[in-house]
Amino acid sequence: MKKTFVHGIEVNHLPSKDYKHMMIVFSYYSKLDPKTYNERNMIPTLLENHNRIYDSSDVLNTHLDMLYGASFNTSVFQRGHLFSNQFYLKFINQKYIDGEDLLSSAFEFLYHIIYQPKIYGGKITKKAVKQKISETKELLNTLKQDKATLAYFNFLKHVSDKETATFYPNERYLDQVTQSSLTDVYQQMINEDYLKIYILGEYNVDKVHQKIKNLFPKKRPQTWPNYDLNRYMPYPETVRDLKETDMDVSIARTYVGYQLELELDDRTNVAIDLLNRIIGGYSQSKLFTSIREDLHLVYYIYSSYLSEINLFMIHFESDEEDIDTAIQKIHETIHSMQSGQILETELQRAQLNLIKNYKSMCHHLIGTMKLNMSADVTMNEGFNLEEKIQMIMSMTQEDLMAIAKKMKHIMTYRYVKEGDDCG
Amino acid sequence: MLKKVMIVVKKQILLDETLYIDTLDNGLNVYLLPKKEFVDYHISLQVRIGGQTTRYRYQDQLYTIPAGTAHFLEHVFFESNDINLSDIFSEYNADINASTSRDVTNYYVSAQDHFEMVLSMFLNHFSKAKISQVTIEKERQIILKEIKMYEDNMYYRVHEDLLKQMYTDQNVWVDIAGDERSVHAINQAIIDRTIDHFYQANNMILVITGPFDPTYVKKLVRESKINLMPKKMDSPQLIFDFQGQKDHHIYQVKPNQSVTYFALGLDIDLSMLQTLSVSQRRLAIIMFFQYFFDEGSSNYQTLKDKNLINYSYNINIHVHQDYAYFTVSSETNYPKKLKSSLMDMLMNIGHIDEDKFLAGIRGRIGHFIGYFDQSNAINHALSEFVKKGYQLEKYIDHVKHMKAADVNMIKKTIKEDAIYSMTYAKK
Repeated sequence: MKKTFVHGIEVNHLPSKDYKHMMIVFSYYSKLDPKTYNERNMIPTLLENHNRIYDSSDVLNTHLDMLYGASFNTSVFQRGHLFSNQFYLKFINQKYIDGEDLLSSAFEFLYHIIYQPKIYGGKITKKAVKQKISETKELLNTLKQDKATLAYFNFLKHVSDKETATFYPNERYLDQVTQSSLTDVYQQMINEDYLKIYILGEYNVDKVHQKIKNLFPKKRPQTWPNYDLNRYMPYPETVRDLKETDMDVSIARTYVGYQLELELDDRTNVAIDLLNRIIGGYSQSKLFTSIREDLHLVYYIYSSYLSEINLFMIHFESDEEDIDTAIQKIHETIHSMQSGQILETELQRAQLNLIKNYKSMCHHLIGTMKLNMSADVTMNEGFNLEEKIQMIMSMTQEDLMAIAKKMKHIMTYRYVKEGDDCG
Repeated sequence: MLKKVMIVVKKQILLDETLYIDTLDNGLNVYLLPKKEFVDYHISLQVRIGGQTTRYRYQDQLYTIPAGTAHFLEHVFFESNDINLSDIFSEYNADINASTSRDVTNYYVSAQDHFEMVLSMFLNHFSKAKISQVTIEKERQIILKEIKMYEDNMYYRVHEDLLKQMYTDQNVWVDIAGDERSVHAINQAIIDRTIDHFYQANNMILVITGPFDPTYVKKLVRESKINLMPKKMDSPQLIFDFQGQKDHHIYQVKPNQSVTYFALGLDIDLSMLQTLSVSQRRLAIIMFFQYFFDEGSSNYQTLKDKNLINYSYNINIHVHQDYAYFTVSSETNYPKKLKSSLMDMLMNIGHIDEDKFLAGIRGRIGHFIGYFDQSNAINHALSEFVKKGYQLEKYIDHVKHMKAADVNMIKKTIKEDAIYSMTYAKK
C-alpha cells in the first residue's frame, strides 16, 4: 500500500489487477464518544436517504445501476478510543466498459452522498431527523421479534457500562438525538475528522489525484489523531449471572463473557485469534467437539473475540436443562487451557486455519481492502501477508497459555422460556 | 487404463473467463472454472433433493418420505462409511460444509493445499454411503435443536403461514429441516432408500473452481470412484399439487408481538409464459418484480412516502420449474392500507420506463461479472445458474437483449384470485 497526500487528504493506493471490480472508500476518523454514538451511526443512512442529488431511492438505485451495478455500503469501525464512519463504493473495472469514465463517476457519487445532504436553515432537515429517530425506535421493537438477536443485544447491554456503552442503538442517549445534535456531528465529520481515502483496483494515480483535487479544491488541514487503541469499555466489577425470560421462545440462549485485560498489539491479536479458534472458533474447536459432537447438547457453539470492546464471548443455544452442563464444560475447558492443556496439534491446526483465512482474504476484493485499512489504522502501514504468516507460525503453546490466563469470567447471561425454570 | 482425456465442452463466459464442461458416462455433469489468480479451491457437489422432496415418483412407483429427510441426510453424509470426512479434511486444512435448500442439497469443500487429495477423497466419499445407527441418533438430537432455533423468528413464521395459504401442498412450504414428528420418523431404511434413489450421478452437479489446469482436474474426477457410480436411466420426479386455500387474506392478532407484520404473496401463473424458454422466463419474472417492487422502484417510494412500510420492507421472487411466486412484506402500522395499496399496484401495473429499464440491465451485467471476483462466489453462482437452467455463456447476451416488452409479458400472469396475504397484528 502506498500513501500520497492530495490537498491534505491521505490517499492510500492498493493497485491490483486481480479483480473485475474496483473499490473506493472514504473513511472519517474521530474520537469515540458514547454521547454521540447514536448520531455517528445514524449519519450514513441519513445521508443516503436524504440527499439533494439523489432525492429518492428510485433515483439513487437507478444511478448505481447505470454504473453497472455499483454497490454502495456504509459501516462503522471502532478500536479502543478510535471511531470511524466509512463509505464504500464497489464498481466495475473501467477496462470492461468502453467510452465511460466510471472512476470519475464513482468519486462523484461518494462525494455527492457525503457532501450534498438536504439542508434547510443550515441544518439537516427536520423530516430527515424525525424519520431517522423513528426508524431507530422501530428497530428496537423489531429486535424483540427475533429472539436470537434480542438475546445478543441484551447480553451486550448487560456486559456494558450504561454511560460508556458503544453499540447501536444506545438507548441511554437516544432521547438526546436532535436536529442540532445530528447536524453538529455531521459537520464534525466532514470538517474535523481525519479523512483517509482508499482505492483498490486498476487505475491511473494522476487521474485519481486530479479528481480528488477537483472535489476538494481547498486544502484540508488534518493531523492523524493518535487515540489509544486499547480497551475503552469498563467491565462490570463483579461476576454476574443473569437470567431473563420470555413467553415466546422455543430454545434457551446463553452467552458467557470473559474480559481480556491486555495491551493490544499485533502479536497479541494473533495469539487471541489462535486461542479463539482452539476454544470455539471453528468446527475442530474444543467446545464444538465436546459440547456438540460428544454431548449432543447443541446445534452449534462458537466463541468469538469482540475486538471493539475487548470481550471474549462464548455462545450456544440449547434446551434449558442442558445449560449448566454446557457451562461447566466451558469453564473446565478454559481452566485446562489456562493450566497449559493446549496440544501441539491443536495449535498447528489453528495456525494453518488462520493462515488459510488470511490468504483467502488477500484474494478477495473487500477482504484485501479491510485488511489494509485495519493495518493502516493500527500500524500505519499496509497489510503484509508474509509477515503475518511468520508471526502466526512463531506462536507457541506458552504464548497462548499466557493469553488464556488473562481471561477472566465476568458474565453468564441466559435468555430462557418463561415458566420453564428447572430449579 | 484411462481413456484419452479431452475437455468435451469449452465455453467462453467473459473475455477472460472460460468454463469447461464434462459429462461422465454415468451422467454426472462436471463444471470446471479455472481461476489462476486465486489461492482457494472450491468444490461443490449439488444433489437434487431438498426440503420440497416429500413425495416423488421413481421407476413407476410413488414414494412418500418424512419432511426434513434431505436435510437429515445432509447432516449425516459426511459421517458415512465409518469415517468422519470433516475430521479427515481438517488434517489437510480443508473446510467442509453442507446446506439444504428447498430444491437441492449442496456439499462443499474449500482448500488451499493438498487439492488433489482432498478432491479425490471428497468424490470417493460420494460413490457409496452407509450411515450407521449411531450417527443417525446423534444427528437426530442435534437437528431437533436446530429446528427450535428457527421457531423463534417471527419473520420465518409469517412467511411460512402465507405460503400455507397459497399452496395446500406442503412441499412448497414445509420447513426444510422438518418438524419434531417428521424428524423422529426418519429411520435407517428411509435413509438408505433415499440415498439409493437420489444420490445418483445423473442427479448431481459437480462444480470446481480454483487455480488448476482443467485437463488435469478432469482426469482426477474421472479417476475417482464417483466415475464408477452406476448409470441409472431414471431420476426421481417430484409430485406437486398447486391448489390454494379458500381463505386468501388472514388477519391474526398476536398478543406477544411488539410490531405488526404484513406479508402479501402472488402465485404466478406460469402457464401464461409457455412461449419463453426456462431461463428467459426466470429472467423476465425476476426483472419484472424487481423493476416494480424493489427498493429502487417508484412503488416502494410511494409506500414509503405514505408511511405504510419501514426498513424491514422485503421482496422475494421464487421461480421453480413447476411453480413461481412473489412475496412482499414489511412491518407496518397500517396493514389494511398496505394490503389495499399493494393489491392496487399489482392489478394496475404501470408502464416500464426505457431508461430505467436499461439501467437495470447494466446493473445485472455488473453483478454477474462481480461473481468472478471470488473463487467461492463464482462456485456458488455457477451451481445456482446450472441448477436453474441458464446457459452461462449466453447470460450477458440474454440480459442485454431483454426488452421491456418481454418483461411486460409478466403482467398477464397476475390474477387477483392468486393474491394472498397474512397479517400478524400486535395487540
